[in-house]
Amino acid sequence: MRILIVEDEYDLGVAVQERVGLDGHAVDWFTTLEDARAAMATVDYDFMLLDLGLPDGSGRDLLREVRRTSSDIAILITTAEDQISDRIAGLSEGADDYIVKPYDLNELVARIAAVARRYASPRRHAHCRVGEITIDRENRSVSRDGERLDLTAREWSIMELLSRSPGRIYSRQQIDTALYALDRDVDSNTVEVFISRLRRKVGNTVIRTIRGRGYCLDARDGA
Amino acid sequence: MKSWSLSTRIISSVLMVVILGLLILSVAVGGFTRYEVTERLDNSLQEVSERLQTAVETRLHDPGAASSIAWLPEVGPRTLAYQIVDVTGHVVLRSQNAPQDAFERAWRTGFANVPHFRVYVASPVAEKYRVLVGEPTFHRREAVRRAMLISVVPMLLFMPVIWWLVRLIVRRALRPLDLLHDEMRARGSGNLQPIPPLDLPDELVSIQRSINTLLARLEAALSTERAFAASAAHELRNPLGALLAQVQMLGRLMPAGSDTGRRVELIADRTRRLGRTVEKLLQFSRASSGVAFRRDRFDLMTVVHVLVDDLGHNPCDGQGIVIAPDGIHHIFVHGDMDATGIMLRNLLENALLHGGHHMPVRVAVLPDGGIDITNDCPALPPGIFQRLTSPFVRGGTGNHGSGLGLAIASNIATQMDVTLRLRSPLTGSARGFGVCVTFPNSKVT
Repeated sequence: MRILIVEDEYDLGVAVQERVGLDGHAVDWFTTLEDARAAMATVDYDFMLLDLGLPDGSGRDLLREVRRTSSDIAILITTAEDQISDRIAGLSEGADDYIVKPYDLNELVARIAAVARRYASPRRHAHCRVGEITIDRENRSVSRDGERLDLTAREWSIMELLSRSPGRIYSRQQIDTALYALDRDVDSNTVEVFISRLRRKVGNTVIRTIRGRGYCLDARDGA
Repeated sequence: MKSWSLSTRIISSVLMVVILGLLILSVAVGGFTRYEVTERLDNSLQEVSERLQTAVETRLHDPGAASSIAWLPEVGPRTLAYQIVDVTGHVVLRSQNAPQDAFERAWRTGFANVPHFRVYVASPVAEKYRVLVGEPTFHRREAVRRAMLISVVPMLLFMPVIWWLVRLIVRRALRPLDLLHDEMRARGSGNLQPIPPLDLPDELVSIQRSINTLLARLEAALSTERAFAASAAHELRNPLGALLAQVQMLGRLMPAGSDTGRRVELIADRTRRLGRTVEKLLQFSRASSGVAFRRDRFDLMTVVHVLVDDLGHNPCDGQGIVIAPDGIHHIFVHGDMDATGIMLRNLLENALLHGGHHMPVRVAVLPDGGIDITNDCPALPPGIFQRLTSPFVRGGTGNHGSGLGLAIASNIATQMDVTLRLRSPLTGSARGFGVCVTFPNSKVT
């Protein structure tokens, strides 16, 4: 997933970006509402971790702005405001979950996963089968004939993206966006490198290359 | 003890004094009127008698004559009766309404009361005849009664009017006080706005000013306390959050099972515990300073669901929470929502901390709107059970919390008039601990 973190506490932001990134997500981190708005104007994020007390305003303003649009970005509030009225107000205004600082990073990524599951389209099955390959989106695993394959976080991110809609073609740009944050320099053939590695693990026929357009899972042989 | 309103006290006191005064006055007026009327009638009787005596002395010269009656036209029951009696006691002449026998045998000059008449015996000019003039008692009594009625009855009839007037005047005079009372009563339940100008009398204006000064100070103190709590939470939670996150990331860099890794995990564990302690101390500080000040109407079930959902997420809390709403969707109560959140969170965290690992904490919604939180644990010894709501008293499960959870909950419950019933063991079991939270005047739907 492409995740936006809006957090003004530097040491916390660094750690959260690193920890969430370890799960294979592309994470952008900003410390102000203004920067976050600018990023959202250019990148289509799947998830946002939103602090409420920010130097240039309240995170609630951004929450309300996002919920006024048709964007289906999942939002998890991460804040020091611990009152039940703050929590109910945040959830009422459209946040999907609310976690109070100091929080455990493992709990944070668990909650991100839980919210992401809720956001998954009903058409997106928890399990996706392409040939001999089974993709378990809930447990973030890929297996062949019941044997679990060892995928890196980046490789899983590509499989997760492609398995959202088997048969749909994802462009190299879309895969780049899902893989890398804004501050990362992406080599021109990085996507091809990861696709190549994935094919070695899952088989050459699972991921098809559509010349000049991108990549997709081969839906002719799956469910 | 029965309470009385100020207007009732003033009205009843003034009316008691006025009515008592009127009664005493009525009695005095009645007595005086009776005396005066009697005196006037007696004077008239005496005057008539003495004039008649003079006339008799000059006209009657035949003692022992047969009794005769002087017939007068239009003699009624109120007409004076007279007798002229000779020395032997024989009635020589009498009015037609006088009895045949002499009114009085004793020839003592003056007034005498005989049946049906008050009689005056005039002093004789000569010893030959005596004149006895009698006034019918009925007439005299009627005259006295009428005179008394004329003087007393208006006073008695005027009493209800006096009562109504006193009530009207007192109520109008106390209206500014009622306005002030209503405004003061509206304060306190989250409303600390100053009392607006009410056109009050001078005596109440100073009270209004003092109240407004107090309200301003209270509002400032509460705002400062809220701002402090929010600032303290922000200033403490953010660095703690950063510290915990950095330590956790550091721990991922350590080789598994290494001594350094164990030490980093220890730091992370202590940081988590420090975070919980800071949270409890902030809550305890807020509870002790009267956090449950507001009396807003809110849905208790929303608070319960949000808390259960939040605490159910936390993998550190282990065994989970089962909620049994019993078909109840809303419980509307009056209180401070944030304080209620703190109270219920402490009770739930307490149940999770001390509950058995294989038994979930159960949150049952009772038909009367009560929230019953139960967990499995060994029954608490009576000595500890009695002191559980005191600060820094811990149960006997061996799981060490801050020792503040139940003290915070109990403190907030007291401030909001919420009933908190603790019990251990649970009914029908030799184990367990339960807390039942009941708000006053809750409305269940």
